[in-house]
Amino acid sequence: MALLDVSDVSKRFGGNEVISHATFAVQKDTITAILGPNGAGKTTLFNMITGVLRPTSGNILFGGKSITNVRVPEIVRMGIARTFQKLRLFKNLTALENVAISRLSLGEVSWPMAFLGARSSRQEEKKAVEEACELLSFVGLGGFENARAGSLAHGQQRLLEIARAMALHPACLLLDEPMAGLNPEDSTRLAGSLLRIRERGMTILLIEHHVDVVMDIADHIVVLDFGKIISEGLPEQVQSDPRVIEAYLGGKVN
Amino acid sequence: MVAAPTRWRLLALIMLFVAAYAFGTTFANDYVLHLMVLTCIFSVLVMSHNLVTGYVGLFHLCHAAFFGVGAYVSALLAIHLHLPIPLTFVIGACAAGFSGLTVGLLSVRLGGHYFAIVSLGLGVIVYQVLNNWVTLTAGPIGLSGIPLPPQIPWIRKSIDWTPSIFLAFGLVLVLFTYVVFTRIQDSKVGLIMKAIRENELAAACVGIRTNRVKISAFTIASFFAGAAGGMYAHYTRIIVPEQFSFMASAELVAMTVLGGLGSFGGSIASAAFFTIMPEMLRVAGQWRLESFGALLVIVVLFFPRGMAGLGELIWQGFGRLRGRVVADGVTKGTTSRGVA
Repeated sequence: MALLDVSDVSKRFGGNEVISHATFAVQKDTITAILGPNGAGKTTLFNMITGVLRPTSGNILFGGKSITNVRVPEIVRMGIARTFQKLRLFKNLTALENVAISRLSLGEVSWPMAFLGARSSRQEEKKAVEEACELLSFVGLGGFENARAGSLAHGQQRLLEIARAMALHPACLLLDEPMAGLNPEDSTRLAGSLLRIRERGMTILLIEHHVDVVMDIADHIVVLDFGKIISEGLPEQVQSDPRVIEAYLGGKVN
Repeated sequence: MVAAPTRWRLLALIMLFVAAYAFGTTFANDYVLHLMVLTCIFSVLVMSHNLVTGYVGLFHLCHAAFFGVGAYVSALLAIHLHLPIPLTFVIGACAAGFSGLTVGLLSVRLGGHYFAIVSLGLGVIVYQVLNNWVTLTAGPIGLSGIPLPPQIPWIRKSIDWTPSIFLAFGLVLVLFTYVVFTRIQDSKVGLIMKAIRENELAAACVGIRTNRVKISAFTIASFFAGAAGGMYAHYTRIIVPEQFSFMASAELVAMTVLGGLGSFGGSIASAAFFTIMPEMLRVAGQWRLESFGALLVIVVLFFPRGMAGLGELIWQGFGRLRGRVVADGVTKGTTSRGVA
């Protein structure tokens, strides 16, 4: 059974159908990439999977359970975490706090206990901080723990978003253009990190424009154009699919 | 997540309060004492408003209404049912907390400007009820003859409820509020609240149940506003609806912003500023309120982060001064300890 099952999902904004009858599945422990030109509806698809938007029709299953009408924080708690294409960090908090908060918000320690500074809450904080440090150095932000998130360079902010999402220990990690704004060197390094994230037991669903990088690391590719899935399969299959070539390079000229 | 500096700040605050009390009871005349008690009450009010506006980031325009609920409930229970005042005080605070919970449940799903407008409307409703339910609240004339607190049973000496006793209670209430709020601030709860202020969608996307947090903050803040109201009612012994109108709420917003969003120490400073400054400006004669307004404009223009920001600047200045001493010490070939 697939970890994430998107079946016949459509999204309409007024008369404009942004996603039309999308059906695809994300298998556990894989990297699945969604490709498509700008405006194809990739981010809308992400917003529906994470509960930010509700589909007009269709159903989304996660681990066999429907998450179509579940609220955002509950979906996170079920095990889906995401990053944003347009960055959404807690800018006035430190990098460390940005990551630690994930662990603390899901933490078992109740508010009254946290308020009273009980030992359990201090331990929870200590663990969250330790893990946040570890994740920061994993994504390459070691040494920036106490920097204000808003003061980091754009590329670093993207990495910080990834660390924050990873701290939620999601079964499925949704990354919306993680390589946008990264220089080629950092992109390559991030591609390596993504493979290591998959080894950590997180399934990755990825939106990305760097086609060459995607072809290298993705196990499965879904190509979206004008809200419709026009091709799906292994990287080699998709690469040679005439419909994909047409969408990216334009149709034949008679 | 930081505990140590808070402890120092708390110690400094306690010392400041002891000094204030000593000053109030020995040197100050009744009028100054009165201003000090009012400062205490408004400190609690502004701090609680800051929890909602400065921490969770809900721009909220009906805080004076909760202040009014606390004041009226406590006063009415004491006048008509002759309940003991510590009890009416607690019931008043709880009633305010409960109304905060109700308002929160009704409006918290709305964001930004919409929330501000709804809170404004709800504040107007509370004011109109106080103003027009004449049989219960005596309408615009207000409640007078609110009883003073009783003698404290386990103290033999009889207590004269003089302003200096109120000052003691007021300072304790401020300290209690400050401790509770800074504990919230320093625990993960505070971090979660700040995350909502910073970016609500991102907060939801790290698993924070944002509506629940906002409603909780709102309820806690209303409870403390109600406590301030109860103290106000039994201290001044006369309350009128006008004191809890929209204008009062707007003034609270000004106090919170002037003190510094998210800074509770700043809130206390701002409450003192707002209570004492208009009095000191009496030297400006008929231009008193105009010059106070001008002063507010100046502060906001030059210190957008309020009195807390100003305080930080001064503190950094001190730091730089200290840094220079250390640096001088190093260049002269001595350690900083050697210089000392």
